[in-house]
Amino acid sequence: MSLMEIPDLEDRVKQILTNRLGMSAAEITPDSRLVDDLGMDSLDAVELAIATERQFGLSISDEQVAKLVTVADIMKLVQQLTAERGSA
Amino acid sequence: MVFTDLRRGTESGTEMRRVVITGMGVVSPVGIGVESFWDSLTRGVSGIGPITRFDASRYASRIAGEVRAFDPDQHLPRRDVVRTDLFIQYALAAAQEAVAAAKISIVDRSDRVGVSVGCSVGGLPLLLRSYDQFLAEGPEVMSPYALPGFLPNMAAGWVSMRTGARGPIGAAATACAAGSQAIGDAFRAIQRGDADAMLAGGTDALIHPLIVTGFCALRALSRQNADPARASRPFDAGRDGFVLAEGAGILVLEALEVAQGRGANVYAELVGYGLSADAHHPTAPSTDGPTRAMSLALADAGVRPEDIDYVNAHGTSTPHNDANETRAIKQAFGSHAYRLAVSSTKSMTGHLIGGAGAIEAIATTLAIERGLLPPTINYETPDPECDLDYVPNVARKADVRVAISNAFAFGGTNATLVFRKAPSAKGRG
Repeated sequence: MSLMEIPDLEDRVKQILTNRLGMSAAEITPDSRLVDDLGMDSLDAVELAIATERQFGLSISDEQVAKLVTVADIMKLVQQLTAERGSA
Repeated sequence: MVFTDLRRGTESGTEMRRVVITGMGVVSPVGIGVESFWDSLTRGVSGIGPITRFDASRYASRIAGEVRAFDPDQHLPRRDVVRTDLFIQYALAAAQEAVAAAKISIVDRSDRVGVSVGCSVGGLPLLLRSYDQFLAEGPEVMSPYALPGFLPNMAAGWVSMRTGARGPIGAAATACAAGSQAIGDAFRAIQRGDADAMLAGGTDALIHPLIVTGFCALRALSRQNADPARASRPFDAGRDGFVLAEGAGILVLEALEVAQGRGANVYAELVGYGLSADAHHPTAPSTDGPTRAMSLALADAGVRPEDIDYVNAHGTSTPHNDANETRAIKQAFGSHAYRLAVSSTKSMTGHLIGGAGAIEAIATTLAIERGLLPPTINYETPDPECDLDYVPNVARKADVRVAISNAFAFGGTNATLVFRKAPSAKGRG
């Protein structure tokens, strides 16, 4: 499956983590682990899902959120769901 | 040291533990931080101004005591800021200052340190923002941060989380008496030996259209919009209502032996607490309730009316409260009422609702510690119904041995706290 290019994807995900979850921009890289490095807890996970859904116009399940480990995983999920939406 | 060994029985014939104040923190319309707060109070500076939080042009009362220049990021990590409404942020900032001032190490004995922080309704602004968003966009957008961000006990909860205090916890929700009741609850917890120290106080951040309009409907707020700094005028004949304000006060209360054992600086001793109900009316005060709160507090402290030098009054600047409180003081103190100094710091701060009793406990403590009475500003025209010494307009030097702080609330809750000069360094006060 070829993933489509989403403009400013990394910046937009970063902004969710900083603006909505209050994480420190300096600590966020694509490799950062959400729980171990950035301190994400169960409330943050739900906030992240809601904010990501709204930012990218997607629907994200609790199971999909539970599988996210790194910041890059969020970007991949957004790309995947956007592609699925486009082909649906 | 095993702190539980200090516990004494509360059965008749045995003594309750003594409780002292070893730290304080304030977020208020007249200053953030105890020194800035006290400097304003003793210089007679008003913290009241036009409401800037929202467009209040349609309201009968368009003034408030807003906390200026509060930057939550100066006090809290951003991760905490995004999860909390303002009333929690104020409490956390005040608690941080209080704990630093007390130089108390909580981690060493965290299960013996508790938290008691009162407020009136909690994070109403966040609650209503969440509800507006829910109505506009549906249930899918409800943030998981919302509910834990506005519950009234979450100020206490966050103070506990951020200080590590794992002892008794509580959140009095008795409106304008919440701060005083929270301190009274903490006092009892230490007296009984349930805790060695308590972070105690109150907070509120209710400068919101719904609250302003609600108090306007009760005709409780001052309408002196043209001259905000002179609108809060307790005991003055020209008073026409209170001025809504916001902020928090937190005190570190500690068992005397524990404070002395670690060589802590003691500001004053908390020696008595009286609590009564009016059983009368939702909003109108009775004279009996406040009178009994004061008398019960004096008896609890084991002091006589003539031992009291200073009353930090509830003094809201409503026509009813100030005349009624004056009557109650006269009933509780008899002829000594005319020898007392009585002042209302709400003349400067406005009414912090759940935070009021806490910042006023701090003002009372400082009046004792520093020998200086904060004035009642805007006192110009005597009211025949209010005929006591209200320390008009200018701070006054005074040797204050024992002082009380009053807080009376809707629902007929009356709370009085009694403070005394700190015991000497040898602990024989």
